[in-house]
Amino acid sequence: MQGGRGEIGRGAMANGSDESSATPVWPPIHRLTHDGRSGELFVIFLVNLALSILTLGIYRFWGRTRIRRYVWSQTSLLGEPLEYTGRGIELFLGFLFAIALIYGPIIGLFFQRGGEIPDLGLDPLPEAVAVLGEFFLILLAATPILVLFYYVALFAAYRYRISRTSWLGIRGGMEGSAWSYGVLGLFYGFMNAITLGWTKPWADSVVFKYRLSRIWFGNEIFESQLDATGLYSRFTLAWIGTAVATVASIAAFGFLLESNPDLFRNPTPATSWRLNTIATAIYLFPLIVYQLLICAYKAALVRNIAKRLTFGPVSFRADVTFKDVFRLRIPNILLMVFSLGFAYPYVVMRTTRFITQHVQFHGDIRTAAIGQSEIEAPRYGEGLMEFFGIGMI
Amino acid sequence: MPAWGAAADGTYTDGRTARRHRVRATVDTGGLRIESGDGAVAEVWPFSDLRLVDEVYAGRPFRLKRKASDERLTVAESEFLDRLRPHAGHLRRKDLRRANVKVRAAGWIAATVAVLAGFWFLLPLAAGPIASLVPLSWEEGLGRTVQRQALALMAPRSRVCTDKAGRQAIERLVQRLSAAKPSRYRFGVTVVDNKMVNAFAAPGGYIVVFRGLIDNSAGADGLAGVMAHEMGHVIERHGMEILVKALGLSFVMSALIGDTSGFAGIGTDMAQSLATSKFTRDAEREADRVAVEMLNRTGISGRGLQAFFQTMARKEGSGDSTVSRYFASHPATGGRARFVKDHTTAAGAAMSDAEWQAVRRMCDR
Repeated sequence: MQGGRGEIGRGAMANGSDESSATPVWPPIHRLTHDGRSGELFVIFLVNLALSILTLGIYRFWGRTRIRRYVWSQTSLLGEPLEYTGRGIELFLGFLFAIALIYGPIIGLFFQRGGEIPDLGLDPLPEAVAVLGEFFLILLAATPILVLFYYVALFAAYRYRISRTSWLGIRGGMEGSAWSYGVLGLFYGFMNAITLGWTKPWADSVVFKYRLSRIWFGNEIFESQLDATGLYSRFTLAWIGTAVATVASIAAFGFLLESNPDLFRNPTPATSWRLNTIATAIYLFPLIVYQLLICAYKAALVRNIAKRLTFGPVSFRADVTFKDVFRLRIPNILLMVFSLGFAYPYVVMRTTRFITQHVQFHGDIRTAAIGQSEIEAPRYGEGLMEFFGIGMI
Repeated sequence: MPAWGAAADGTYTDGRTARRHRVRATVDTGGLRIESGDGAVAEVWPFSDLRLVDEVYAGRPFRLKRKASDERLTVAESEFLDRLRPHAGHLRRKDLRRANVKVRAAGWIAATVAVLAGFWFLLPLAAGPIASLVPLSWEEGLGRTVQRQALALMAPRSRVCTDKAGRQAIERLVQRLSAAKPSRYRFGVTVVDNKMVNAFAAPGGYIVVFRGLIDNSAGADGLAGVMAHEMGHVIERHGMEILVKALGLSFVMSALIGDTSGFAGIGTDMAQSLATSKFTRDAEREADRVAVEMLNRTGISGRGLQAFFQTMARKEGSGDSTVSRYFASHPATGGRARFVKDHTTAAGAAMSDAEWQAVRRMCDR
């Protein structure tokens, strides 16, 4: 038999990256490639939609698995596609556990009280002020728990996905405890709250570093030296811009209140519609300004993450600028909003292409030296994340 | 048609390291033979152990694995899959090379629309049978929640009228009516001090009557008629049906949006949907029928209910805003008054004059 020398996959073994190197280039630069097509992903999306409705939503876990399998398998490094090995049933069971964790106490009360929906204290009270006060107290008490759960869910979701990602038959893995990560997230969240956000760049870098430096591929670990270098200038811009926009919004509202007292005192359907529109615009304005300005911060964060990340002899670069992040995020948001979610496959494609276009691997990926992973993989999927409704795929 | 000897070049990894081996894969009698030129790889995978790692699309390489193993084989030439399929028919399932994206998209769009349409038509049909499966204790628990929430929504600042004589009179009336048509429900009536002409029934037998309705009910017989009508809604489980429909719809919506977090607020949502949505015309007709049946068996005249319907139809026509609420959910038509008139057989009184005066004054302070 001939161990043929022909090209395998798509330009597979070029660039001296592998054991059969031909022309050494230093440092070799590798990029991910993506061969997915929106049409194919759209069909998967439609199948998922129809079956999810038919099964009252239960199929969605299998559907999400199919979408991931597609996106992973169409993404290649050195001409070798990634592989998603997760299964729908794992996501479904993870979801059931999360339900038990969150709704267990409520459902228990429901049965105990013979079907009466437990009064969680959100019952409208006669006095509006009392309602607001009570609501605020509940929110204040619930926030730490929600933040903790959010970070636990985030870590568990990453760990699950990484443990179900393999390349060249070698699995990824993630060590560490989701609950420790949750406590870390809670602490930095608290810091951000009391400093009006000014610890965010520092907190982001610590939290990302914690997660990134626990990732394994096979028997080799990623290392992250992430810090907040260069993040504060972009963050300051976003913070001041948002603050100015907020003050301007409030001033505009105050001015409106002064000049048109009738708008509030004698509302008619026409004026209350106008009032609603104006109030929404005034409320949205600072948010839009923030979303625009934070793109520069996010770009710097991504650049830092890549620059400070190493995997053995391999280092990383991500040459993303404000403009790149802006062109990714803003159309994604608009597409999702105006297509009522039907642009989802296209948004996934855009995002995947963004990643494959910008992430560079510098150095020799010595595949022959990487052994199989021995990190224990979680048995069930990222159930808790379901309740926070974030994460694209 | 067997294809012994067919071969293709590929890449093999053994699952122990990420090292790639260039191999030649051959369809052999014992299975798929995988060999590298340097002799480092010499494997035979039985055909029945072959699995496609992911879906195969036209023009792209395909990947095979050996069942329950980390070994992988990637082959760029997808025609080789056609040589393998006669020996391993199960590989067909993930083979999408000949699938036409446009045809499949159109098919699944049609399927989605059909499923949605199915829900749209089947949900109302299924709601009744499903509602009748709910145990009484659950229905009562839900009813209490719904009543509380609906009151908070419709009359947040209104006091409950607790005058003893008035309450006793109403209780006696409810007992007479419910004895006329035995059901599993224990009815309770709450009167609130609010000028709206309104009444509603939460599941499980929790009936709420607004003072405005007592003031405009054309006498005790009219009040008895309205109460019998609301009891009819409870007995026929119209409220539960609405809740089941709302629950089903929220399931469908969450499947569409892919969001589960909405389940948290389902109790409140159900109360709101019951408080704000209308019963169907059929449900109203059914409740009217039950009401007349109850009145006839109790010996209470239906004239009061008939007069009430007529007064309300007139007031609604003149745009009186205090009645609009009730008839947003209970459309008044001349037909309803006529139905009551045509089917009434009794001519007795709902309560004594003293009792009626007590009811009328029960919200006075």
